[in-house]
Amino acid sequence: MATMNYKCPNCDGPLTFNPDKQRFTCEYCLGEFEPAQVQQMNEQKEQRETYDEREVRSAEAKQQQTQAADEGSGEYAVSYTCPSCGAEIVTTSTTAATTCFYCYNPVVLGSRLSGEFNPDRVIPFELSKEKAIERFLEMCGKKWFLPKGFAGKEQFEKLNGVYFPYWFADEQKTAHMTATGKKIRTWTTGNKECTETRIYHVARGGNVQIRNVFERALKSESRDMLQSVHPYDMGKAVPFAMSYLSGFQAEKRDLEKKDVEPVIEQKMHEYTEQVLKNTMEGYDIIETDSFNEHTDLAAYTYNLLPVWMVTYKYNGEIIPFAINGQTGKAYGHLPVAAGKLAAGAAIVAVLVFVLGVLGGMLFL
Amino acid sequence: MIQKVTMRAAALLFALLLIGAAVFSAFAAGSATYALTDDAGVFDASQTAELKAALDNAGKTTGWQFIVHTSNDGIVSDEDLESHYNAYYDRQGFQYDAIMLVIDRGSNKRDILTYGDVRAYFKDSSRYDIIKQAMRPYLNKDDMYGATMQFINKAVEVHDMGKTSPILLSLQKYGWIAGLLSVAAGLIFFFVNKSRYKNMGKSGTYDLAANSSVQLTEAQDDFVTQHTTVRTIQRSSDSSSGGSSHSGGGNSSGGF
Repeated sequence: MATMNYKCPNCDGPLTFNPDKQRFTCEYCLGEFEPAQVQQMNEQKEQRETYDEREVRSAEAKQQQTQAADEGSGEYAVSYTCPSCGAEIVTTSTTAATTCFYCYNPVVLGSRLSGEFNPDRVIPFELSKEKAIERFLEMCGKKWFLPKGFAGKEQFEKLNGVYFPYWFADEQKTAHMTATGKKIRTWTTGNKECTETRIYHVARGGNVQIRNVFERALKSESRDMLQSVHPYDMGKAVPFAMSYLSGFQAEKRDLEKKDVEPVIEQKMHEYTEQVLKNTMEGYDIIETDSFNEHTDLAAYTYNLLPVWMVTYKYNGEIIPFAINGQTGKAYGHLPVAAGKLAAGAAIVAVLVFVLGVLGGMLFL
Repeated sequence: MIQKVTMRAAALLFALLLIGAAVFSAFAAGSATYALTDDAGVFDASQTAELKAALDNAGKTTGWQFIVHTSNDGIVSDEDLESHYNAYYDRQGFQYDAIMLVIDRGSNKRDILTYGDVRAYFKDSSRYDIIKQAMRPYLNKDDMYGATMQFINKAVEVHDMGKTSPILLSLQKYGWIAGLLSVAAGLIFFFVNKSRYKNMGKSGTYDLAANSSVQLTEAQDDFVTQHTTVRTIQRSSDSSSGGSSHSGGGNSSGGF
């Protein structure tokens, strides 16, 4: 059912995208292929699969309606057949790429990312799993209060590369702002301190461009995590190709543009005001009197961005941890060993006490 | 020959000068171990003799000069008492390391003053209290001889206790402040780190400067008005005018 995998033209082994080499590699014959080459090889297959998606999607829609009615939930499971071994692959309704649990071959569920769900751009993984683990362990090395054994490599064997969906917006606005600007000068004469405040009426107007304002397009994952793993260098985004997902997991959006638009517009409003405010230079205080804006152009795009993700259980709580698959920036809640932290606090307290007593000797 | 005579004469003159200086010094300061001046006539002859023996003994034991001075000066204020008897100490040319008990019968006030190295033994003011408490029962009975004997004995005890450790003294004086600060620092450290672990990587998700541009079509900055406010600065010296009344480098126990 509507599944794809990318096979090596030399040995028919599975092809996966290698972040270090930025090429597709075959782990069996060690062949390497340019992304364009793989896309060209699989173009026909992708198109055929896409054609089949209509049937698939209508079947999914029926299944979704049935299960949602039965269970009262928007989440439902869908089963696919692995193109390599024929095993049944069960995924959530938003999974777009995964790995077969039997043969471990990468499987792309084409139906999830075609037609209206076809992303505009994708940033391919730049950070390999090994580097992501290295980054994480490096960061853990600087954290003294982690529980013993937490920062072991085995903890991160479960690290998964996931493409998460995001909405991005670029807007061009005409904006106008008036404000009261204050320049403050202070000087001392004898035992008098004089403060002079000069007040200005400041006005700024112009065309403001704000780019790459983002909002997650997947409601099932923690918003904090999906938002905090940014920033990404969107200059490195490439037109979407299904083949980039091979070897990784991918999620399709379940939040539409209309769902995220109010949040993005609020951010645009704040950023536009800030940009105009930043042009009011030379003032110590700026108080906004009026601000109005008009959106001249707005463009929303749907993008897939790479994240290395792992969840771990600590004190009965399942906590996600994410690493930006392009820059290596990490986000997450790290567990704290209360005993170690208390000991650290006690050492600090003792040091402060000793310094306090030694400092007190100066005032005897 | 003339040279030899000149050298001998110079040596003789130098020796005479040394002897003269020593005599003058002894005359000015009295005994190196003690000094007792009973201007108020508090002690009778036998008491004076016993006190002199005790003072001399204490002075030899401690290496300090023990001074007991009685007067009818009638100085009421503690500060005046201290500065007055510091000046007295300076005038008399007593030893550098000394402890002095002053009994002013005119005002019925007493004070203990310390000088030189002795001050290091009394940095902890509670040591003055040891002497004062021992003297109090005698003072209440107006037994100045008994009180003075207590002063001598307890001062020797303080000497035997050794110099006050500056660390211990700081601990006594500022320990509670250091304790409060250390608890606050420990708590801040605990909660800041806990929060840092909990919200790691939450900031810096969007770079507005890199993702925005502006073309200004209007930029006006019109001066409206100005005002100046003037504030009088309170200098710390203003509030502490009068300053310290110490003189002669002595420390006082405060009148009692």
